[in-house]
Amino acid sequence: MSSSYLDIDSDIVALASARGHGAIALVRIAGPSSIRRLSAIFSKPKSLLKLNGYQAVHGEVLGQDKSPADEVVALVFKAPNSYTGQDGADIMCHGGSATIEAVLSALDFGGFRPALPGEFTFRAFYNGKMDLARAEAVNELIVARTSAARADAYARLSGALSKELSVLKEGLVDTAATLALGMDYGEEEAGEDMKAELELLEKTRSACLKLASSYKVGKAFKDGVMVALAGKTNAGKSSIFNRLLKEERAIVSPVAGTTRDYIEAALDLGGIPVSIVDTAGVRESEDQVEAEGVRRSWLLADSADIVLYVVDAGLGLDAGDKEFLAAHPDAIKVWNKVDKEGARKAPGSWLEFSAKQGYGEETLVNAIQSAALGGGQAALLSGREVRIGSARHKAALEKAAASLESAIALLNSGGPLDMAAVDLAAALDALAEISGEVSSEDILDRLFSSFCVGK
Amino acid sequence: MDYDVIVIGGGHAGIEASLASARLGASTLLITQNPDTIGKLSCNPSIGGLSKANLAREIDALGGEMALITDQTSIQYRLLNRSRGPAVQAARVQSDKSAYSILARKALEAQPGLHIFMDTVDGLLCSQTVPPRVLGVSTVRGNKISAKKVIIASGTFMDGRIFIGEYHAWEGRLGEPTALGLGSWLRKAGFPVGRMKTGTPARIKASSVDLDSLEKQAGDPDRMPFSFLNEELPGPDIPCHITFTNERTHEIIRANIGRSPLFSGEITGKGPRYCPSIEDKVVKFPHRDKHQIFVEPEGQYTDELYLNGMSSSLPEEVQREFVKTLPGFEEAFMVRPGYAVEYDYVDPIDLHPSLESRRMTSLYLAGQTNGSSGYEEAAAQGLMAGINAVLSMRGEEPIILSRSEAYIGVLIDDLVTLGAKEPYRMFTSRAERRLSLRHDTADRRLSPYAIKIGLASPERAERFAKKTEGMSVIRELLEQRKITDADSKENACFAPHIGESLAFALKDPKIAGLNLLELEPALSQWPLSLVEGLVLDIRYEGYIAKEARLSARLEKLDGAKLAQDFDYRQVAGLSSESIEKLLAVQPLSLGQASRIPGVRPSDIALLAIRLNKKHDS
Ligand SMILES: Cc1cc2nc3c(=O)[nH]c(=O)nc-3n(C[C@H](O)[C@H](O)[C@H](O)COP(=O)(O)OP(=O)(O)OC[C@H]3O[C@@H](n4cnc5c(N)ncnc54)[C@H](O)[C@@H]3O)c2cc1C
Ligand SMILES: Nc1nc2c(ncn2[C@@H]2O[C@H](COP(=O)(O)OP(=O)(O)OP(=O)(O)O)[C@@H](O)[C@H]2O)c(=O)[nH]1
Ligand SMILES: [Mg+2]
Repeated sequence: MSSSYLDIDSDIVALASARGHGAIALVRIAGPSSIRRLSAIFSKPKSLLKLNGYQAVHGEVLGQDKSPADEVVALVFKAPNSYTGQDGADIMCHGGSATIEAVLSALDFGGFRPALPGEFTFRAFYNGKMDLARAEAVNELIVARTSAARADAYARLSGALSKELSVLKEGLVDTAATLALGMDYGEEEAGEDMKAELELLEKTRSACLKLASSYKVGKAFKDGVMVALAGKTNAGKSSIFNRLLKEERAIVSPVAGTTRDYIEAALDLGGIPVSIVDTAGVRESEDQVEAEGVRRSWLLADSADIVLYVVDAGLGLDAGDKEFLAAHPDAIKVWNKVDKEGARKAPGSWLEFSAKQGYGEETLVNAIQSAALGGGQAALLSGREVRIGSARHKAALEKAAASLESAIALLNSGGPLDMAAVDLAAALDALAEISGEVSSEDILDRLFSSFCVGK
Repeated sequence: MDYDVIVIGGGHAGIEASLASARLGASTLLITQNPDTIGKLSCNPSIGGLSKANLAREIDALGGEMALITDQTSIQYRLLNRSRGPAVQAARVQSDKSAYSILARKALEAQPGLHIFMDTVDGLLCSQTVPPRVLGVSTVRGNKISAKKVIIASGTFMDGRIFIGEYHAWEGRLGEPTALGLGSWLRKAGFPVGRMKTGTPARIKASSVDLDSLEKQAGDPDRMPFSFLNEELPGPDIPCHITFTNERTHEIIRANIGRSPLFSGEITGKGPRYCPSIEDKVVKFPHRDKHQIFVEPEGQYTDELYLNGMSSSLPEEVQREFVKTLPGFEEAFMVRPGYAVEYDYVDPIDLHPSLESRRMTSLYLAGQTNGSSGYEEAAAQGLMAGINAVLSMRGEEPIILSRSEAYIGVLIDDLVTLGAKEPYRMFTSRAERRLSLRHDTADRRLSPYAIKIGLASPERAERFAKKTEGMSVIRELLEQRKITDADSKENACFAPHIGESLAFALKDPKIAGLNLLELEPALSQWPLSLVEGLVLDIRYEGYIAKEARLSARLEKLDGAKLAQDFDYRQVAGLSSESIEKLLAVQPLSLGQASRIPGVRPSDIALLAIRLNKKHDS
């Protein structure tokens, strides 16, 4: 981490509202001397300095030449009752780039440093206002592209992930306490049987893995997925593209090889930000330009999260199709033009579709969603499941699961407790990395509150 | 100046403190209330046990006495946690109580430069400086004795008061007068003096108990000495026995619970959670229909038995009655009742990690006075206080063992960082790096310190050098010995290891279990314990690395030193709660700071930045 994030004593400023031409813009400041600094460039410094937290004052921010930069309302926050845990203020000024620039440069002159991305939230984390998992969710919330993505991040912000993790950790702390009991009291007094512990470890391990795999979902919401349309020329790829977009974006024609280069468009598919790519159809081609287009299509199909492979139902499958599918076994297979006279019946795993009539559209959308969310996880969309939203979480959870696996193997084979305890500690440490800390005092406390021991 | 060092109290802490001090060349006076009670095992007749044996062996590795006396007075030996891994297993011996006390006294009396003096200290002499410096002690008989350093090791005797039901008396152990005066003196001088309590069970006449009807627990046949100086553990193997309480026992206890000084509110001091009285257990675990009681011999020269797990402060007649409900104890005769003792302790949060007081220079505190409990815990502190008092006299840096280096490091760091709100006892699980703190590696970890400061006897230094050499020769032998086809024909479990060194193949538990002497006869020139130690080293290498990775963060923080006069109030951004805690503890390192309860992780991060900035500029 850059050291300037840790430079938490500096006073920082940032435009909190979106850039553009809104009626009101919000400029946010924070830092231990932020109020004093603001007062030095404020038309009514005394009234400003008198304010308690959550009180506002009306006045002018003064520029370098002491002339008013803008007329503003400043809402003051006092540590620790603020978002960052520090003193700070939200300054409401007039919208419009010129005004905003004037206010920002006045604050710059007043000694405020432009905030780094997420720096306010970092300070909130730093000051114990939120744990890391929640701090991360704030950031996701800000960058969320669809409303479902926002809901997903919000669930994490409200602590759903932290709660789920603390349940898992609690179970592990209990088990660690049992192991500690074994290590602290010996065979004479603490039982040998580890059946219940093993069960819990196994349960926790699969919960970790499940959470880790939910990254696919979290990532789908956060980063979106890329869907590529592939298939031979004239299969109807551009028609399907247009149908999903609900507008005539790509050129459709009965001439094979209409699409020469790929086209990309953004789409909200049931809350998942999808970027859909129409590609040049595949055929043997002499045309240099088109051959390059085809080459790119293949590349795109390979890098896409999801491939829709389209076949003309009137023509059926040929060797080329089979070759492609062998290389892309996860492709969603679309049997297009089922409305056409003489259309053949779709083989089992193919999805019957008509770009012309819109037949099969819902099924296709569902198939794309389900693929985006890791297959068969439509239930996750219900919103009640907890999901992780970062690769960091995923790595930590996988590390925890691996440690648990090794502990389980040791305990199952009657291996020594002292080694298993290290694995357990590693698992706890990995989970604690996501949000907080577990110390050995916790384990001892647990040990004494739930066991009866003599000696 | 009359003496270099005065040690107050001839308990387990005082014994190690005064021996270490005198052995390091300081003229030393041990003042104790009664030389006849030196080294008394106040409670259970045993030394060692899980994590406590590690302490005892660490004390030995540093040149202390406890393990040597233990080896000579053992009347039963058992290795605990055999099945749970070498890092958490430990030996316990039943020790002959009276022999222990006699040998402890003999060791003190034989030590040149050490005098034992019978008196009771009731105050300290100190300078008027800020902070004051201790100059000596005053006693109840009006003696004033000066010294450069004073070590308080008063155990359960400072304003000690015992309770048996409604009966109470100013005593530190049943029948032994309390030491009045010193506690009030310390209180007046502003030391954070508090009250703690502990208890002990009744002692029963062995010949009045039908021991034959009880489950017998014999010692292990293969016995290992505690001291690295001994090859063998001598002594008899006297069995312990096991019995259980039952509903009738519990009924009697429940019916009289109001008469316990604990429940009636007579005792205010905090007792140990891990060593609860039988009445505590009955109240806290009402669903348990029985509790296990170990019946242990008190020694070879006495007919008294110790009832481990039966500690009580209920009235005598109640104890007499419930003891008789134990199977085999129908006719039992109670020689001494169980009792609770409440005493003054000084919160160790007030100490430097060297065990020197932060309030008064040149004053050290050790043992139960610091809120710990247990012989080994006391002895470990006494030893470190003795060592550090003399090192300070020499103008040298104190020895502060880290948590990854010794259980003693864990013990002292916990005490001075967390303070003691209830009696502190060592547990294996308190140590983060327990795989590295195996009892058999105590000498490898710590003897170099003893040799460096001159506390190791020539014999110890020589044995240690020989062992170090042996370990490296053995490792080489194991590395040079390659697994061959012939080996795998002999034993199929070698098949996957052909071509590997034996050292490498030992990571396979199947191989580690084989008789290595047959595989590599050259190994037999070395004691088996060395070979076994190395096999463990090799087997645990992977996990030790895992453990090290886990505590790397901790050690990095431990490596970041904080100045003793650091003014935390100057650090903008620190929470006021943290500032208060940090000022109270004055941690030596960021690591220690991070373990102070109530200091927030974010504040540690903040301090880390301060330190980094300082390094930059
Ligand atoms: C009733 C009872 C129950 C216990 N139960 C347990 C238990 O269950 N588990 C456990 O691990 N430990 C138990 N212990 C504790 C164990 O005995 C101690 O931890 C250990 O003995 C402490 O050693 P020490 O050196 O600190 O003090 P002690 O062994 O108490 O020795 C202190 C010595 O200092 C002398 N002294 C004190 N003050 C003065 C003075 N002012 N002037 C001169 N001499 C002084 C005393 O006479 C005594 O000889 C118990 C102790 C008692 C008394
Ligand atoms: N009857 C019928 N015709 C369709 C359907 N989908 C596409 N077509 C027709 O098929 C022809 C090719 O359609 P496109 O969408 O341009 O095909 P493409 O796969 O994009 O072709 P290239 O860009 O050349 O690779 C057009 O004439 C479409 O009108 C369908 O579902 N039913
Ligand atoms: Mg097209």
